[in-house]
Amino acid sequence: MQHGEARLIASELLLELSSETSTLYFHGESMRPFLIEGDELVVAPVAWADIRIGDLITYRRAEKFPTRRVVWRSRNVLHLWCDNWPERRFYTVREDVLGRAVARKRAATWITHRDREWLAVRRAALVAYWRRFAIPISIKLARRAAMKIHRGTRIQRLRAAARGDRS
Amino acid sequence: MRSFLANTDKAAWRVVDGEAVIVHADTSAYYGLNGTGTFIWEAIALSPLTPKEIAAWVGVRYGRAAERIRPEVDAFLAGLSEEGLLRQIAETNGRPASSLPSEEGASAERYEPPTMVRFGELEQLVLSGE
Repeated sequence: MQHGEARLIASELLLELSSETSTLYFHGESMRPFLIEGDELVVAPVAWADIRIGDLITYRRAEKFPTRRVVWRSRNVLHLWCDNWPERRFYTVREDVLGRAVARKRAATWITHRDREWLAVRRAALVAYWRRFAIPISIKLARRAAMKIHRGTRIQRLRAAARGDRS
Repeated sequence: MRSFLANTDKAAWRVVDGEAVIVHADTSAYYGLNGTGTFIWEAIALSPLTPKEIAAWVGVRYGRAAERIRPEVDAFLAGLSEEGLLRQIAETNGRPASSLPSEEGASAERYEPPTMVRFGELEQLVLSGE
């Protein structure tokens, strides 16, 4: 086996082994303010069926391990976004999901995914997502449906009127 | 006689194309095993085995005399042990000899002495945005 391939596999295994004594380093600005450069995370393996909207998921993407929030899920695909990059959308498939972030350490303070602070940020992120994408899309779809119904009833009325003329 | 068991509390592994990659949780060191090494690792991950039993298993699988491959098995186990990848159990409570694989289950693969390569140590893993 090539060294590079072994290294990538080993990294994924190490990710599964993460714990309070063996944490993972978070890099970047994408999840600010909840995750900032230097935060330490614990990621636990998660079954596909147990992934919930709002979870922070770590997945395989080339040789990187992005960690993003689940905002929607379909049968085999997770729709993800970053709290600090609301204009960008990401996707991953079932096979590439490596785990779910379950704890964060910042300045010697731990919080877990069951703590109030974690849950509050999760809720706020989902509300922001729904405001930005889901509600406008729902309104658009509702308008389109209403137009269809309106058009349908108008045609029916015109047909009825035409029948009346003939008789 | 002492039995050996894979230290699954401290090690995680994955087999890809018949070869195992192992990571030690405490040291973040990672290793690669060849096909024979992987066969031994998977056997001792299931239950403790003595070196004699391991040599017998390997011998049956690859159609070799157990006594001839025993020194290579011992060297391989010593390497794993040095890296903290094995647990030694004083009393023998491995599989009974009757549960050794039969020759019908012999593999067509060519025998190679079991080897372990230490690739290095992983630094703290980075989770990133883009």
